[in-house]
Amino acid sequence: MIPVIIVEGLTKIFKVKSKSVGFFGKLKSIVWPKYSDVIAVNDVSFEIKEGEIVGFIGPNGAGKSTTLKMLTGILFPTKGVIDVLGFNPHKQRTKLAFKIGTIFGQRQQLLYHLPPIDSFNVFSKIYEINSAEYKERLSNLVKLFNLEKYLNTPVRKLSLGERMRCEFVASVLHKPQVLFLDEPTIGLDIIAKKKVREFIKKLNEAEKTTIILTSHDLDDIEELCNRVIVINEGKILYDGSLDKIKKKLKYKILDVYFHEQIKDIPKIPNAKILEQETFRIKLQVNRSKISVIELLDKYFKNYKIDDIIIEDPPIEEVIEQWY
Amino acid sequence: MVLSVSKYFALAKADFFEKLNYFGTQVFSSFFICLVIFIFFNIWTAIYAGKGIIEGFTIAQMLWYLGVAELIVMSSQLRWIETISEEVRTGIVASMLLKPINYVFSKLVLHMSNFLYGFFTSGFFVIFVVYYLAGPIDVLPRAVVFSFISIIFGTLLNFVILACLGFIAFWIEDSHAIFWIYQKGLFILGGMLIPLDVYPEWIKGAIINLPFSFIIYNPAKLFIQFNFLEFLRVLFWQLGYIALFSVILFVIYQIGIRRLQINGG
Repeated sequence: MIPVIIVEGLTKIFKVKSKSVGFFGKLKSIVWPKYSDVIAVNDVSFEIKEGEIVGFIGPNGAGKSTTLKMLTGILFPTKGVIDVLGFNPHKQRTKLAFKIGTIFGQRQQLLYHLPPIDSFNVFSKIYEINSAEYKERLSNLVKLFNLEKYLNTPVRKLSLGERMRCEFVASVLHKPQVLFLDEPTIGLDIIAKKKVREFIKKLNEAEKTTIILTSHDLDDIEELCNRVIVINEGKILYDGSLDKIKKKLKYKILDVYFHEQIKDIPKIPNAKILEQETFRIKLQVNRSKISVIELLDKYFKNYKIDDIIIEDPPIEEVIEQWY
Repeated sequence: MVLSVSKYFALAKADFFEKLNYFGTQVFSSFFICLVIFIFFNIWTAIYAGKGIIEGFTIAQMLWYLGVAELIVMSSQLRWIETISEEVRTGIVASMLLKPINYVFSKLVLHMSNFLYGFFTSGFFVIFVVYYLAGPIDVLPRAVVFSFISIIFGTLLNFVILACLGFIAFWIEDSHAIFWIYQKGLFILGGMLIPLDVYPEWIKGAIINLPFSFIIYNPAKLFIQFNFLEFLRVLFWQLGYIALFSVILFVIYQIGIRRLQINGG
């Protein structure tokens, strides 16, 4: 598949004013300000192919949003090459704007006091979508998002979830080839998050839209992304499938449900008890030292077992290993 | 095309509909202008006691002048300095760069549409109250047309100055002080409280050609004492100032945006 985004040796260094302490220090920093360099993104390279959903994950200040801003053209890189859909984002930002869509979870683009339909009409003009195409596109998106009954309700009266779905529609009206999503599910409840994720999936499947996503909600990443880029202190720590990260895991979570009351659980080396109830025990097993089968055979063979659940640890813990 | 007219028209139209949600607030602020005009009426009635004309103005002309001046100021959305600087500080300017639209142009269109909305809704009340208190004055239809053109150019000039001041937020964090100084400058030096003719000659000479007077005093005076040559003189100065401040605005905006793009929001 064709790469739609090519990034080579991307570096972003911010100059940050160092603040001095005390009155004279402050006075001195006004007259002779001192700046220090903060490396937000450090020699990052990757390619993203058409139709991929890529998750950018990392702690706060890792460089995710800065990378996204450079890809969209609103930040100049200090060094490196960026090619998005054949455009150099910071030199051809306006041309690129017609081809990409963006959602910044904490920023609203809809007109607050008007119904979403009015905002959609404005966006259709801003993106210069022809009238017939716009009508057809809007009707499809409204169906996809179940927005029929909210179209004429003022945005201020919509719930956060309904508003977010409208934000999505506004961002994809012009059929962007690449969609940048910065924390798209922030502040949403579980049901709204689920709907947003469903929409992202549908959009990706139906239109082969390439989606780049940053999120602190790792469920977003697990459910949507076939590829993750783990970034910390401006450097890429991992670029590949989520499964591969999981395979590198040292631990498995073992949840065992017994038919009878459990007593006298022996001390199990290489396994940590996470939860214990009368008929259940939940363990974290270091599988590099002991296999699950071996553990069950060695320590629980005298118990009648009803059910066993083997899980990967939460993705948060997986990522923690990288940091 | 980033500068295609239809997208800015759509923005202005949506903004107009959004404003209609607050029509009651607009009516309320119109009442406030009427109250101010009533106070002016009482002050100037006392000042005019025994005098027919002051500095070329009859009392009726003075009240019509103050009505138009007040209307210009109240419709002028001076708080745009704070709006623009807020958008710079919160990064809205940066997110606007992601749309195929020119930020400054979109602000200009919204500023003008807001002005026209305020001008026509409050204008209705102002005409009614000034007519009731001061009675009619002789105004030629062309005086209405040309002074309105002058008011529009004055508003354009006001916008470019406001935008220049608002974009200083790229460097400083709080533009409240700038807003305060500009607002007071406009009130006093622009001729909102009294026509500049009433000032002592040396003060009038010093401030008559400042940009403030081409936003309020000159367009308002054209309405009551129209002279086509004076209209051309005012237009010449307005266009000159608009060109000058547009260049300053362009430079400030380009440097500011570059700074934003280099050093983040």
